[in-house]
Amino acid sequence: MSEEKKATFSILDWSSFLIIFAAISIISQVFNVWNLLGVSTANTANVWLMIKGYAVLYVGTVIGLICAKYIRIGWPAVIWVSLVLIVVSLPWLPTHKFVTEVTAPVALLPMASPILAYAGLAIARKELQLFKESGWKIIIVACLTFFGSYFFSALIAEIVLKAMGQI
Amino acid sequence: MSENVWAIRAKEYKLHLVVLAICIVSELIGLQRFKVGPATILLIPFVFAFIIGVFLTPAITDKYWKGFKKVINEFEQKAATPCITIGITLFIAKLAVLVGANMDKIIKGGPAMILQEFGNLGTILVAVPFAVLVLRMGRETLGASFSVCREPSLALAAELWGLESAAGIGAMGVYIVGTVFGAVFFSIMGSIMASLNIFHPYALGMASGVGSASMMTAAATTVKELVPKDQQELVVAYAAASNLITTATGMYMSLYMGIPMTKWIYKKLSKDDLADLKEEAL
Repeated sequence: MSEEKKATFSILDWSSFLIIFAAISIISQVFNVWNLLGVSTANTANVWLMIKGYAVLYVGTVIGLICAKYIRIGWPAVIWVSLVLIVVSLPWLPTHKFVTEVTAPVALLPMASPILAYAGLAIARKELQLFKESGWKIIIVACLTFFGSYFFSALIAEIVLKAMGQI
Repeated sequence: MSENVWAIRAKEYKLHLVVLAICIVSELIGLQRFKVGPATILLIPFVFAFIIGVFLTPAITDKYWKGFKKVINEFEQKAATPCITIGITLFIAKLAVLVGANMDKIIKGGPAMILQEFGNLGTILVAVPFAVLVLRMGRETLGASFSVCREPSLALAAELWGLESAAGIGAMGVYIVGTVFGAVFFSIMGSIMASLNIFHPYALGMASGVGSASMMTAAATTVKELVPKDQQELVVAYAAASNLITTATGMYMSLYMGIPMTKWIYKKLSKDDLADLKEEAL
């Protein structure tokens, strides 16, 4: 297996886009509170609190990206970013209170909207083509594959959690 | 150098403005709930965002609004692809805070967390029999069934079989279906499973970690909306932690367990003994 996974991304490129992403995401949070037809899932429409929360997440993310770029042990960026923010929010560390409180106004769901909007726009002609051709069988198998992973993981987790008396 | 980066961003302005507009519309629609028999289906704003996005791609606007290709065309589409990966890191950051802050509880749930990783092999038990016995599929089954096939598994299939082989085409197919429908499918499946009350929300949280940030997010955040307030945070924390474990170990799970199991069941069910299957030694 080819193990030389080089981090080829540019930190400037990524971090500049993340600022745009954060801005779109904050606006999504505000409109989520103002929604017309459904239920709101955001925590606040206070933009200043949100900017502070996003700023902390942003700094943590960029530190993670720097680690991914320069510490070359083959870990993808998501692992490094996770590691940085998991460590600073551990309940046994003095940073716990600050990090959890300042990021609390950031709601998860509205953060995902811009990601899925980009994902929708990125779908290329050739991917749509796949479904037109012999697509339907592979769609069914893919759905069964997704269901299988989810269902059996839930089953095992349920059994073990019950056996240990945790639920 | 920094001017350079911002010049690139400025060139993409149409893409980012369209995404902003899509998000505003989706959030204004807000979260919708439907009752279908005993199950509740939640439609989350990100589902609307995705669907609106697809309808604004050039392949579709070709059919009803040719003028929109001045706004979103191949250049914008190309620029949108990395945005998914990059944007998700900020999202992961927020999830990581939930994982870190709840680490004491996650450690307590550790045995369940680790054992449920083997549930990811459930793909094989469901997909192989159906693909072989009902759909009469050939070796595409191998690539399509051994995992939910995100990037590491696709890379594995590419190295092992090559993406032009039948098995590789199966892997590629599931990868594309996952990219296109994965989040929407997991969101709807999550809402149905949570509302049916078969499993505890914590079990569903752990199960959401299938190795894809977008699928995990879709499943876990949807389940979160359907469970009591005091369980919400831990559901998402379990999901994110489980997803991290899958991301780190999934490829080895596929290589040493998933693929051998898939081949074994496939051989039992079909008349193909795979004697001439070409595999690169890894």
